[in-house]
Amino acid sequence: MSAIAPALVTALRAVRIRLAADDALLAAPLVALAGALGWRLGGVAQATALAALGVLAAAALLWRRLRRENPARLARRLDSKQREFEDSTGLLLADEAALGPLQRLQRERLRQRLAAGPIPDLRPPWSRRRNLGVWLLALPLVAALSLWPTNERERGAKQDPARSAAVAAGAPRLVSHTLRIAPPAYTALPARELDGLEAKAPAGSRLYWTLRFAPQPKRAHLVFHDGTRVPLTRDGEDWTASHVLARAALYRVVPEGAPTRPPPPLHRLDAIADRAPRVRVLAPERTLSSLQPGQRSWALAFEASDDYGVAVDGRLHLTLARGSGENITFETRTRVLRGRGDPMRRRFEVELDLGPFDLAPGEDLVAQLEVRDTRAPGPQAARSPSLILRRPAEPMPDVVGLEGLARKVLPAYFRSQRQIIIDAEALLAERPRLDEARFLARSDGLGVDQRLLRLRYGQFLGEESEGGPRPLPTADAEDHAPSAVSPALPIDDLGQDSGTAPTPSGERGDGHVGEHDHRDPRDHDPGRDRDDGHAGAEAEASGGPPASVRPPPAHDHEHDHDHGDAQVDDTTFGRVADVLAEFGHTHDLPEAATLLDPVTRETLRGALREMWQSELHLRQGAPAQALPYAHRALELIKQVQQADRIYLARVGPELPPIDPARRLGGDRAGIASRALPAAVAERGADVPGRLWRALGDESAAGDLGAELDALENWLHGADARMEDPLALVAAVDALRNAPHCEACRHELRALLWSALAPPAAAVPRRPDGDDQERRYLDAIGQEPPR
Amino acid sequence: MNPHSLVAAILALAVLLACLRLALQQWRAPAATRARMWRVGLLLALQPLSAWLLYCTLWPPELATRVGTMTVLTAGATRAQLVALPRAEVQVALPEAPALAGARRVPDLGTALRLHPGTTGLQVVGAGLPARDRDAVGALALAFDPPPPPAGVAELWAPARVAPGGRIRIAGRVHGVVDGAVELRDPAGRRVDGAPPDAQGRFVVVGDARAAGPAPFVLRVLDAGSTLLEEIRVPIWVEEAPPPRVLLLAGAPNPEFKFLRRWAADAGLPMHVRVDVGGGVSLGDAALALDAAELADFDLVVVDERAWAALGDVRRARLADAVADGLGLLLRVTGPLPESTRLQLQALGFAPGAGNRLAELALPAAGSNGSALGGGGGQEPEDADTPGAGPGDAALRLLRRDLEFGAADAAAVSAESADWLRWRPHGQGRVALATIVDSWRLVLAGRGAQHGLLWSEAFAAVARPAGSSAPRVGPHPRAGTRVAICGVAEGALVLAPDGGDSELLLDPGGGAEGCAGYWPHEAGWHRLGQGGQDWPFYVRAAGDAPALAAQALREATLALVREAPDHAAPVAPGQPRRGSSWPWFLGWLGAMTLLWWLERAHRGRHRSTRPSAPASATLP
Repeated sequence: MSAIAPALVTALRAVRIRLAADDALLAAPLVALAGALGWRLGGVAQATALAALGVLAAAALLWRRLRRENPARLARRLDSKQREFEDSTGLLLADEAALGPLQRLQRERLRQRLAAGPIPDLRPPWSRRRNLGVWLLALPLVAALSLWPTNERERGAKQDPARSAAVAAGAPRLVSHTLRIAPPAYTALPARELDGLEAKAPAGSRLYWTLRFAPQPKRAHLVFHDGTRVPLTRDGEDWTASHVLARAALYRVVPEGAPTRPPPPLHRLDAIADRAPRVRVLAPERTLSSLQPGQRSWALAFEASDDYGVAVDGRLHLTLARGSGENITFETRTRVLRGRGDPMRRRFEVELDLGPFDLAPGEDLVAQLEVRDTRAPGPQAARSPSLILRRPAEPMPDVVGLEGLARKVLPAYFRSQRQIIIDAEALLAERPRLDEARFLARSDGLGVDQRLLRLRYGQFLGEESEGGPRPLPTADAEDHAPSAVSPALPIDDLGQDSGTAPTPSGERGDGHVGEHDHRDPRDHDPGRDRDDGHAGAEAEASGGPPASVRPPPAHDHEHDHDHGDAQVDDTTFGRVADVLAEFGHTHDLPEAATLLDPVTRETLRGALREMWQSELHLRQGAPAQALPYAHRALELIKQVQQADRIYLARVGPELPPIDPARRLGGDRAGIASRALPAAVAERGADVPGRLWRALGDESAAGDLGAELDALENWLHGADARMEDPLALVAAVDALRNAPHCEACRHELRALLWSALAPPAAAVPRRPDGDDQERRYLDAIGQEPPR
Repeated sequence: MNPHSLVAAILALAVLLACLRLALQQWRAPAATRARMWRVGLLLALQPLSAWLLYCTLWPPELATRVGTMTVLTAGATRAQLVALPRAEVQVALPEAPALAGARRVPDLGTALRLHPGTTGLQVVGAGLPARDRDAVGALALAFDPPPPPAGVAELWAPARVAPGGRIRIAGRVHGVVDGAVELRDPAGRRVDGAPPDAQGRFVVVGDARAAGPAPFVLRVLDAGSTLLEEIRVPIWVEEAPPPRVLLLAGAPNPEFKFLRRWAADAGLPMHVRVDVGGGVSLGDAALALDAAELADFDLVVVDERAWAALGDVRRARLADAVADGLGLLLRVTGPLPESTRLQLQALGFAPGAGNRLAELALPAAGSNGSALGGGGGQEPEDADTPGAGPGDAALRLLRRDLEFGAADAAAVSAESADWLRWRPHGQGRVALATIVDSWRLVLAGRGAQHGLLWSEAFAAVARPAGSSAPRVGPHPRAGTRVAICGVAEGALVLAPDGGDSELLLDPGGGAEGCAGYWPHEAGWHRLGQGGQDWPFYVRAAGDAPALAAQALREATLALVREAPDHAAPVAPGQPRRGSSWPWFLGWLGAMTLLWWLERAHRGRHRSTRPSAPASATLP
């Protein structure tokens, strides 16, 4: 190019710069618009991409446009602008060699002119109108796009997966998984493989996970909801772990390096608990069956069912209840039965031979089957209902017309040795105020009591009662004589106690037995006689309220079958068993006296001696002299008691009668107004309620973290009280990971509702009326009430 | 001179001129070239005709307005319904109506009536007139033969707000359910109550409210085969009210007092308790002088008849004054009322009997229809005082004092409590007599919740009012439908679930009522904020509970049914309306075309004139 070219080149550059600036001015709002659109639809990434695309497109267009802006065009521009160039600027650009002389001349002139004056401004004007229009259009649009309020939640929900996907690009991800379930062997269920990561399997199953991650993590764990971690071991490409499913759990697969926010989803493992077996009785149809005359055997049939199988062996517990009334002994035997049939539903049958049991009338044979299932660690057992075979009691002889008589008996009242001492002392204290006859009478009464007590204890030494065939433990023998003399008819204690008198074994034929057991009003423990029948543990043991205060509840018909039984036997034909009781006379209480050890026996004998003396003096009206003996007797009785086991009565609270003398005494010491104790105990914080309220308040979304933590802590404490705490744990976890998830909130609320404690009914308030209502109420208030 | 006559004059002149010209032409022409007479006649006739047509084009004659009935098709209208009706002059279809031939689509009824002025009667076909069109009916006669409503819940009443622990009584009516059942499910999705609808389809189900907040209950309608017919949401707003401050006075400690105090403490009522134990000794909080200032700090005074008698005249008078200022007074009658007490009560408007006898109380079952009230697998508070008796197993027989309340204007709180609880206003406050004697048996029978409800009802009836009265939101607001909110003041705001708020503009014509319109556009809980208080109301989605919507539409339309136009309001005479110009213009165009053709055509001219050119050539 020639010498003047620099000026032209400068001009050309200026033109190009102007064009570029102009176009940039045009493109800027458009690019911003594209960026805003991208941000709105996607996010920052989309915005950048779209804006970059816009810039590129603008650059390409500009480049094309600048290319068109060549020197020739500049020359044309110069020509049109400056008349003095005379349409010849092109010559300046042309190759000098190719020019003719005239052209050269003209060119020379042009050069001079170019040098003479400045080159006019060749830059194209700013395209103001166009740019202004675009700016005015684009700016509001950009503003609208970026400032228009969005549905915040929607965006949050949208952004989450996008972000996590972006983050997780390089993090290990679970790509394939297999879950194999091996149920415990006893269930005989086949192992199976699952596609998913959630499982429902019998409790005790072993679960095997085979997982694959991409890319490979360094380590990976199964993290359970209670915090336990099961490490996954690497085996080539696979990661494996196993876990015994003891109870339902939630877990997540956590490879190392995976993003912790949000954590991987929770999976649920449900354990199906093994049911205990169930036993159904097929035969007999009723629980209580009675022994038919001539029946030699008893057919029993059971069906046991279980979800996985019943053990072949079942144990049949046979309990033979011997004796009657309270004096019953039990013998238990166990027999092993073998079941037949399908393990799920086994049949146990047995034909019991009744010969060895030798059931007496009124005695029971109780059968119960116990089966076990096949659960491997610790089988579960179940028992059938008890089946009772009863030999019917002897039929009761005709008692028509005797009911009145039978009931006309008085309860026996005893005084304990301690009571006798107390009464004697009281009598001595009152002596000055009493006349002689009265004193004597009372002393004599005490003597009678002392005698009764002595006789009572004497039985245990086999002493003959001195009253002859007379019921001993009655209130007083004299009063009761008619009843004893009159033919003691088979009154209803026969029906109750039929087992006692007619025992087949003659060994217990003595009426003392029947007399002894439980006919003592002070006898607090029916079970004692069944054990040893030790009389030593008499009512003194309790030292409790005077016996006279507590009439025995079921006494009225038990009093006099001492020798009455013998008479009964006389009238009842065919009772050979009681021959001994009828004709012989045993002097001992077979189960009590003979079993007393010699020392106790001696002590008891000493007590009786002292009682003798005490009675003697009391009867003579000298309680003061009787007292030392009575004290000694008491001491000895105490020793007997301590020598043996003591049984205390189990009786309900029997409040002493109200003593009116102690009321309204006018003494108000210590009585003053005071505050009431609090009506209710402090209740714990209502954690589910708080979370429920927080979830209900839609505006307070987001800051639920503290409440969710509180609920989790609460769940760990109150685990057992919820139907399905795991569901709640899972719902809490889901919401924590997606705080804007509406469905998660609703699910958690639904679960919370069942966890909420029903509150006490609160008091709704009626709204305050407006002025008009108030005026109305005032106006009707003015009216005199009718 | 108006344009009509001017134009008419010009046209008449033109016609005259044209006719003259034609006549002259005919007259001047040589006999040979004269046109045929029919041609001339036709031309002459067409001149005035076209002039008249032109005039009519410019001013088409006004149409006579017809007086008649209009058939209005609304949503759900069917062809069969339309055919069954006598055909009306006009048929219009509202936007909701399905497309049926022969009906003119109109944007609303008002438009249709303006298009057809003079309409005196409307025949509505279909579901009914939407709210938009009801005002347009005005005084017109309206006939409406409603179609059978869809099966489902047609009417529904649910409490607007419930206190925690309170009972939610949802009543309603279902339609089209035979041998079916209605069941209520709690927010956890468990069935809490169920009832077969009666012959009219009415039902009542009861649920219990727990913690505060919105509780989405669901009502399910099942048919005879237990298949689901409809499931509609019944959202309940459970909200804690400010607990009333209670002064509890008792003349002697007894179980009734103990359990009443215990319930009140459980329910979180601030209490001042004082119970006399005789001999001038009393237990509980400090003694009060019961002056006006002290009583103003209480919302409710619960007193039994012994404590009442022990109060003394001065304090009783102060109490009565405080009641007149708004305090609530609940007098528990647990024993026979002495004569003096009865006289004192007369000053409060009651003239009770002595109540010497006890009577049995009719007590509703533990839960209506065997609902599992108070049960559920939730965390049940373990009460040492409630033995594990099954709730409501045995019929409990509670007792009340058998006394006449002796006040004709004494109101009952509910039907169940009418025989033992009555109240009447005394000044601004209320006085109630409660004659129940052994409600504590409920607690011992394991029905503590029922005991609480019993007393909650009694306390709520008389306690001092709190808070301003709730604005009244129209029944069952629905997204996209205007709802009227009354009882609001200037500056009330409605907060929509999406966070947007809109200020309510009071209808200046609404009067003192203070009504405003609101157009919800989103379903969910809206909050009406006014004076620092929030009043939530639930807006159903547009398509939710169709039977309920149909019933509302039907009832509103039936309310407009009227045999004859209301002549008290004169019918505006039909405005004559301008007819269409188009037919006239086309006629005019036709006439002009004919004229033009006739002028140009050779037809009808003299036969000899056909070779006109040679003839004319010969002329010169």
